[in-house]
Amino acid sequence: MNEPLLDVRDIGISFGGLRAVADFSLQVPRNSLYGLIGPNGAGKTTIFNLLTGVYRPGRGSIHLRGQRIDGRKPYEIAQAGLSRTFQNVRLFGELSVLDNLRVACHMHTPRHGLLATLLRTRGYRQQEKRMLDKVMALLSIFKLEQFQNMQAKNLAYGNQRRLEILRAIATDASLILLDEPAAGLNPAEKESLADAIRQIRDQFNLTILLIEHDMRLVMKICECITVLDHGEVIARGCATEIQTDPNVIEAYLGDPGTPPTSTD
Amino acid sequence: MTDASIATRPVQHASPLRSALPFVFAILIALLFHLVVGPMLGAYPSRVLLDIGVAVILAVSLNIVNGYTGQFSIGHAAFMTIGGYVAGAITYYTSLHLWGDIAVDNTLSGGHGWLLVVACLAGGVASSLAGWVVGLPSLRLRGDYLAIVTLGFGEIVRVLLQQTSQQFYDPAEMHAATWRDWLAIPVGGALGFSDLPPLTNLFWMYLAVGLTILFAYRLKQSSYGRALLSIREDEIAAEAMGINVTRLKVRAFIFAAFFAGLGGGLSAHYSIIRPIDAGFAQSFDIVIMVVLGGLGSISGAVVAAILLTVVKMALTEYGIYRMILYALLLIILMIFRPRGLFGVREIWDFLPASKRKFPVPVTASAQEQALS
Repeated sequence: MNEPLLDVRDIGISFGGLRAVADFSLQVPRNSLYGLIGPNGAGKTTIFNLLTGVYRPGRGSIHLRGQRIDGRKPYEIAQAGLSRTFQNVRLFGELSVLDNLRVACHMHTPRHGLLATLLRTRGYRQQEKRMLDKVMALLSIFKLEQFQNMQAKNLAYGNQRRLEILRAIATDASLILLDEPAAGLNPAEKESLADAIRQIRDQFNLTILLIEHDMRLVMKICECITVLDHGEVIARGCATEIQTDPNVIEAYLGDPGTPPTSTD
Repeated sequence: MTDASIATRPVQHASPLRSALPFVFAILIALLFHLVVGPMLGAYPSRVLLDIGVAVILAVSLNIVNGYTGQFSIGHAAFMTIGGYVAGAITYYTSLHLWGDIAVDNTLSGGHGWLLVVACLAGGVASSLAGWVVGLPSLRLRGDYLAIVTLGFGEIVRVLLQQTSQQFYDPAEMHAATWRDWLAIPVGGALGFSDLPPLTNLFWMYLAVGLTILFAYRLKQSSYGRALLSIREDEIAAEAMGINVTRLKVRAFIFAAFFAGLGGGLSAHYSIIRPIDAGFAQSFDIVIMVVLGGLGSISGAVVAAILLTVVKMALTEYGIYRMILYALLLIILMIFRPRGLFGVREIWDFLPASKRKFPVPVTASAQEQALS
């Protein structure tokens, strides 16, 4: 199938007189690791918010797996198979690590009615068991099992970020948006995060679209990159193409001749 | 970080026996109250026990909205009163119709218990309906707006109940009434609905208490409960996880209103109910219990409900001044335990780790203790 998993066509939004995003289009192929980069204020997070229904695009269309999702509510978009993490971690702080993930399983587990829940019928108990098994398997990806009963807000920052990624996976989404997954991590943690993201993509057959400021990480794992500046796409291509693109260099440095970041 | 703060044992799941046993247990406890505790204590203490039962039902059910879901509702007494009036009207007029008198046999073997059960369930359903009507538009709003709407709702219920007409006192009057008389809703007007059959006894009360606590607990442990808690924690993240936030809020509201109506029905059948019961002061009493116990903590709500009911009884002779003491109590609590008596935890979370059956989430304060 050559049809892209996510097909965004000419979406735009303005806040007051400010055009935050103008005529943005994006085709994310199935199973790809796609990077969305750009200087601060370029409109990256706004695009995530448009994709997930937090904002409604004033024009254009968004299709996920051939299904139109723009104009739907955030929870409907999540149910359609698009999940995300947040730039500033938004875990359910008072809930345990386990419960944070189980909340994400909420929508796709076969639903038991309120009565079955209150009477704890056999079906209900089996479902809880299945959910627990699934969640424990997820925790093992980042070796977080030992923290399962800790309140999420008490986790170390890096583990909070990891848990948020797991929570996005737990929704059984086909497309996951990662909003600066490496922010605040140290170089060693970034290194292992890059491997983990790739591993997750392969293991769960996912498509991942990520926003990131860490160029090394983006260049290392993303097969395809779109560069945004002032709400407009200024370049698209693979890592090496982007690094040598004069528009990109200018956007980041304002001074042609230097690559956006040291590469190695 | 100590080992005690990180439990590695997976959460266990209930067997069929564990699903059913609590119901048996609830019945046994209710029987114990009815057959042993009540007769042992005498009439007045038994009456206090009934008051405590009502308070527990109301606090535990309001906790579902204010504690789990994080929505600030201050109209719970209105739902209780609706349940009380509906249940009261059913038993009162059914008794008049069937027996020509109000049924007064409130013994377990007396055979009039079914009427109370049916009436209280109907009261709960009526309350749920009211909860749905109020919740649907107002739960789309955030934060303070819900508080204002529920506050207004309580006052509306109070004023509407004051406009009802005089109740029919004997079967002849009742049977002679035209549909116009019924349309004026003969439930006592401003003076209150009196002479309701005193059907509530300790058995029914504590059965309802047991079931309310059990259901509140099971709800909290389930997918529904976790979704409600996630709404309290972060609405935007909850929506991003596919949770239909508005629908779940409304459901929590309906669920809580049902138990409030049930409690109101039971309350109406051992004392009189008046329109003023739907007002702000009563609602606030329940909110205080929930906040005092710790938002989200079931056992906290139970303990606070018992405590405040007893304190209220003890302070009756000081009349209006008891509110000053009440306020002081709250201020002191908020200074020393800003998250309520138990915070979000349950009472058994405070037991030593070795006595716990299940690992519990570790909270900040427990960690601080472990680290210091």
